[in-house]
Amino acid sequence: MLTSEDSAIIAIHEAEASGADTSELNMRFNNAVNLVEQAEASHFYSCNSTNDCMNEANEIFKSITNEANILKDQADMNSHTKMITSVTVVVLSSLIVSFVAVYSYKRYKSFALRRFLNMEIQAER
Amino acid sequence: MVVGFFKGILLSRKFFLIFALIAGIFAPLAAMSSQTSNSGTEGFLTLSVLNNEMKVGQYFASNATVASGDNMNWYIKVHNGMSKAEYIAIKIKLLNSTQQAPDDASNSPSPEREIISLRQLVAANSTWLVPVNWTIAGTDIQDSYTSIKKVAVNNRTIDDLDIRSSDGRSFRVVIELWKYDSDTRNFTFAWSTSSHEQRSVWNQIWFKVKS
Repeated sequence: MLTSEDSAIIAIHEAEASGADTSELNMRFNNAVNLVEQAEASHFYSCNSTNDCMNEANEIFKSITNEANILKDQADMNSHTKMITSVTVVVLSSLIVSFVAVYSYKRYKSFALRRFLNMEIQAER
Repeated sequence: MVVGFFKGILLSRKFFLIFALIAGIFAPLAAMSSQTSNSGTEGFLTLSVLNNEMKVGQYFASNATVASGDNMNWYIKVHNGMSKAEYIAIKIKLLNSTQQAPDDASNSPSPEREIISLRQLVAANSTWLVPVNWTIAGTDIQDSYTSIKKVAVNNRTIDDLDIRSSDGRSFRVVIELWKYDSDTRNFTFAWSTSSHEQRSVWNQIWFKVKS
């Protein structure tokens, strides 16, 4: 069964893989781990009892999971938007470059044709 | 006439071919570059044990010999060179000279139980420095053997130990680095690299108990 700690770490990894900044979540995760360690060692300095430590840690893990999922969705959305923007820019740039290339080619051809038609034949003595 | 000229360009085969060529090459590249990707370099985890002056070596005040009550102030330094945050566990074990240490060939940990385990989520390319203050709090010294009965690590007392050494009172602190595996949802001592090699990281420091 997936514990709240497992869910939190998996959610953080997924958010990070999507490109989200998880540094604040990492810090809170470590605070929760510290509470779990206090509970495991029965050595309390920031919570009062095993139950108190575990409950507080579980609450933190759950909120981390929720926030990491939100961050992942946002990062996925940003990544998607960024991809669409990049592709659009490339397509528009390609249109402009292609147009300029064909236009320049046509101008050159018409210039070359005009020059040819304006040529005069001179007899060599 | 101008509209016809432009229309002629836009509908020409040359225009279509150039556009298809440029867009066909650069659009997929743009799409790929906008996705998050890792650097493709081989990740690593390192573990080092430092003395109270943050240096390697001279872990004990008196020539690798410890008396009951002596304070050892060490630091364990873990660097995460992986491309993502890693959930790391440091397991500290106390062994005599004959108990099985971790095996590099099979990448298996020591089967002995840890006296303390410390965990931390370490961000990519960052270092976790763990202070470890420990003391031998109880020994049983007989003619034929020396036994460590009690140790205190970071203000926690572990008093159900009986680690006996008969050959010159040799003991060792073994420090193992375990990494959380999202697939098995457990900490694992060995992990696979991108080239499918198994890796594990551990360290040991020998000492004798003063009689």
